[in-house]
Amino acid sequence: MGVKDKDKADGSASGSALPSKEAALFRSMVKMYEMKQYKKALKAADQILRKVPAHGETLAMKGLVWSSLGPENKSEAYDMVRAGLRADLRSHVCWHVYGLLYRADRDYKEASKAYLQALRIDKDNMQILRDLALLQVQCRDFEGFESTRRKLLTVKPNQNANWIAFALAHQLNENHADAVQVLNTYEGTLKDTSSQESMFPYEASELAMYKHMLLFESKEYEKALQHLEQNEDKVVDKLGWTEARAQSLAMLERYDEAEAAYRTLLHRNPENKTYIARLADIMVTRNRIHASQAGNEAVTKSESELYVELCDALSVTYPEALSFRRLALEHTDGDDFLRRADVLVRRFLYKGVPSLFSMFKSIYRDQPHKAQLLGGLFESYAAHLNSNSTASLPPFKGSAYVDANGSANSSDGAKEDNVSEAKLQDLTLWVDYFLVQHYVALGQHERALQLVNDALLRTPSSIELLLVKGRVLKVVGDVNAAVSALNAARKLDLADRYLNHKCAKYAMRANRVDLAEQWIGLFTREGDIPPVQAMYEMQCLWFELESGAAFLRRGLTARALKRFIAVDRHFADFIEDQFDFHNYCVRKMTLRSYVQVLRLEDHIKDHHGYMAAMRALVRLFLRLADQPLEEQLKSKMSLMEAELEKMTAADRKKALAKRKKAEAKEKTTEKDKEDVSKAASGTGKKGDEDSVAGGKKKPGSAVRQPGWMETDPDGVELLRSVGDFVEEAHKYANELDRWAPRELETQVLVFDVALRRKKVLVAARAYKRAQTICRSSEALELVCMAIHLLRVSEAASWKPVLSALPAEVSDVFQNVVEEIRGQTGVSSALEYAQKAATRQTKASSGEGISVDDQLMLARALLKMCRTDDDWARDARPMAVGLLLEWPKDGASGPCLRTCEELYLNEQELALGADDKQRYVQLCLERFPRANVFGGGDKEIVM
Amino acid sequence: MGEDGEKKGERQAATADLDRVTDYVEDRELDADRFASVQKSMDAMFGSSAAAAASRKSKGSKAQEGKELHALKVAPEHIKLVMEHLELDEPAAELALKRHGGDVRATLHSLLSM
Repeated sequence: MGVKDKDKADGSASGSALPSKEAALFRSMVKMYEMKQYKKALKAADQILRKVPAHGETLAMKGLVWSSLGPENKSEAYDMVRAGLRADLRSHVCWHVYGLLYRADRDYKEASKAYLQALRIDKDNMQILRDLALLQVQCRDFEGFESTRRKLLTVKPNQNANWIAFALAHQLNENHADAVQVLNTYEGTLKDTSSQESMFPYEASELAMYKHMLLFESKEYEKALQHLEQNEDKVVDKLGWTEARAQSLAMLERYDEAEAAYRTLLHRNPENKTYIARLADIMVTRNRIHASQAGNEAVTKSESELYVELCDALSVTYPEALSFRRLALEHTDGDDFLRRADVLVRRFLYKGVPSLFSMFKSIYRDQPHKAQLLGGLFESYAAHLNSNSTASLPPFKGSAYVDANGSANSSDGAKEDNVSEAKLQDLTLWVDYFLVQHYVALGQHERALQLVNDALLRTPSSIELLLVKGRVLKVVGDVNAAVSALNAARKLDLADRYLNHKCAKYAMRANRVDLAEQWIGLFTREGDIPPVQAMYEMQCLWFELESGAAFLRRGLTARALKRFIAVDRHFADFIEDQFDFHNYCVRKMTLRSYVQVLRLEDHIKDHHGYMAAMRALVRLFLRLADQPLEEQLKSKMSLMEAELEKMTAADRKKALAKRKKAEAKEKTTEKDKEDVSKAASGTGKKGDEDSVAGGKKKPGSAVRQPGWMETDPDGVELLRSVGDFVEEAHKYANELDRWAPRELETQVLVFDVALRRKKVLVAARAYKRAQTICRSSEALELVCMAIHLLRVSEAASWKPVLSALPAEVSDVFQNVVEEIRGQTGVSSALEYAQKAATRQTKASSGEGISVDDQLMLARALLKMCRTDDDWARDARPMAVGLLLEWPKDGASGPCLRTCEELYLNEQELALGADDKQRYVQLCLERFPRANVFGGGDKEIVM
Repeated sequence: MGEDGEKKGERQAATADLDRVTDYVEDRELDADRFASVQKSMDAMFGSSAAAAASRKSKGSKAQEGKELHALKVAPEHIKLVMEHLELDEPAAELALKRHGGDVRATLHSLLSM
């Protein structure tokens, strides 16, 4: 290691213009900072400053160290660094430190500006170049990254990592050939010295596999395979090597060898579904080739036959493996399917494996007729167990079971287990458990409920039965009773985290966030961190989403906002988290995983949790924007105060509500009362939190900073900081449009937001995009959007907006409107609405099309009435008719979710009290157990 | 942040340990012998890959299109109009206009179906 290079590497530690003793101290201070010995570093900085008070670089470094000592020092730190910068503008150290400070604040733009300034002063500074490269890859400025890495390699070609990172830069720029060339050159330099051993075996192995990845991704399969085989002894990741080889062989269409490779892999792990799928693919492809060569179609086996053949053969080789038997079920039908299912489920039933139903979920979803077969099979088990009192399942009788439905009772040949009472009870339990889930999946909720209640009489302490009972009740809308069931299950095993969390989740569905938080708190870290903050720190998405939705249902907008914003922050953190890996992975040579992480991060916001939060935020802000101005002001300025007031005066209100309840049988007061009582328990809790936060510990000991969830826990400040609700909705709608443009829901929301912002072309674009998503032009979302666009073009209230548009814009918009008229053959929005309504009524009277669409149409039409009086006059009666007249019979009625969604957003429909009551009445008739419409249990049984 | 002060219980100790983990590492470098050979092969690589990159650039059809489009001039108020009414950023609006020879109607219309 040359002395000259050493100086350069620690370029940041220049300590220029200092006496030699202080210069040395400066260098060691920099080192202390890097070793996170901040307090020591601070002392050293003060020591230097005592001698040379105006030393810019030391001032800047002190600022950096100071900011690392605590977030509360931030603004002071900026002042210090800026002071340092003023004292020594020509110092790259000061600029570098300035950039580091911004980087710590995630302000990458300012940070890279500062870095570039520093590089202007010292263009070959390794440390700054390296930091700049990290920023560039974090911001996905791959071109900049490549040129920075090139510079680094030119400055210091004798550092191994610089070569690797340069190759990586080429790969990220989709330049695989150059990446391979860089690696080749690098390897070339290794060959002519003995330093080849200087690399650790693991690193050499990863490097070899990384090179294979490059070759494979650039579709150089021949070279990729060759490279693999040449480096077999170097690679320590044997599994990865074998997988890579099998994959390469398959791509090279060397099917025999590929098959052998996948069989080797399967021998290692017979349950790996990817291996089975790949192997089956090979079989299918080879069969196709074979058939086309023979020119005889009759010889060809169907794909399913091939799958089944393969699965059967493998089940013989690996009799204990389940995946083959499970896969075969997807490709068989009728008696064959039943026979196979029978063999498989027996194992599970005798052993009492609760997850049996999960195995069939995809079959219930994709192949419903087989669900019927399975139901028949289990019915026959149940009947046999009922009548025979032997603890064994009946022998298989094929599809006879399906029709016989229980009459199959013969004990001949049945394997006689120990005929013990307990065993019989066990078997009955698991058969019933499956059947309950079966009926739920088929939508036969009452039957499921009856079955589970009967089963619970036999085995009252079965946690599984209680859970599934809760599920049925939740599905039919009796969430309170569902929580009671879950709570009973929870109490049977208080140490079970799953039960506890599941129970909390159900409580939130029942709008009891207070209960949920109480339960969650049983399992979060002990100490002074409140459960909500603990869940926030664990970045628990479901908790934030469920509690946010519950607050929203209760109309506690600000609190809901806080929870949804939390999700947004989690994802910002997920993205931020990759920063550490840019440096670490290259150093550790885990390049394959690193590239995978980068790709994952590029798409992390596709995650359904993020989407759900964004959708909720758009709706939340649109709802706020919809309120009349005075209410809006109230919600902005004092919504939360009002809520808090409600809480402190909770007892009084509670009493008031109780009296009301006694007087009136109104369903609606029920809801209010619940809210208040919930709010009351919320207050007690809040008081606790305050006292914890208030009890400041003595200085010097570890003072915990209050977390994000603890400061402004009710979201008051958060909501207050929002300037314009529509603009805020726009911000989140843009996120949706960016990450999930192919979701219909996204385009519907973008459309809504655009019209509120008077951006007619953006709305038209959303409509057009929705058109490409929907398979049918009669999809209800499309129809509603088209009606709305037609209305925009004709409504008086839109005239001033449209006439203010530039001619080009209004022409293009009119084109779209004409297009709609042409496609649908209607001349006005009202006509289209009537047409859609008629079709809907026809459909609902017999075609078996759900009434959900009808309600959605009603909702859309009513929403348009709010800002358009002419429209309200013409369309309102029709819309109300659609809302309140639907068939009574169960099969074609709307689903609970639609009815509930509409009811919870009823303020946007501006219904009269009578209509509202009629709607609730209708819904209650259809969903007699639904809490939201006043049915089912009033209270949770604790 | 990392306090060296009091530590109660294992968890705190573990947290403290975690806080002490740093990114700091000594760089591993090649010895002087190899330096020369590395320098040589790097020079060779840059020479050839620079040439290859240059040839790629001139050949690429995208680059060609870019060049032609680049020469085209679009009125700034048109760019502003597209940006405002379809909420695009400036480069995207400018490129779309250029692709349609500066025709605002055609640009807007085509952008609706994108």
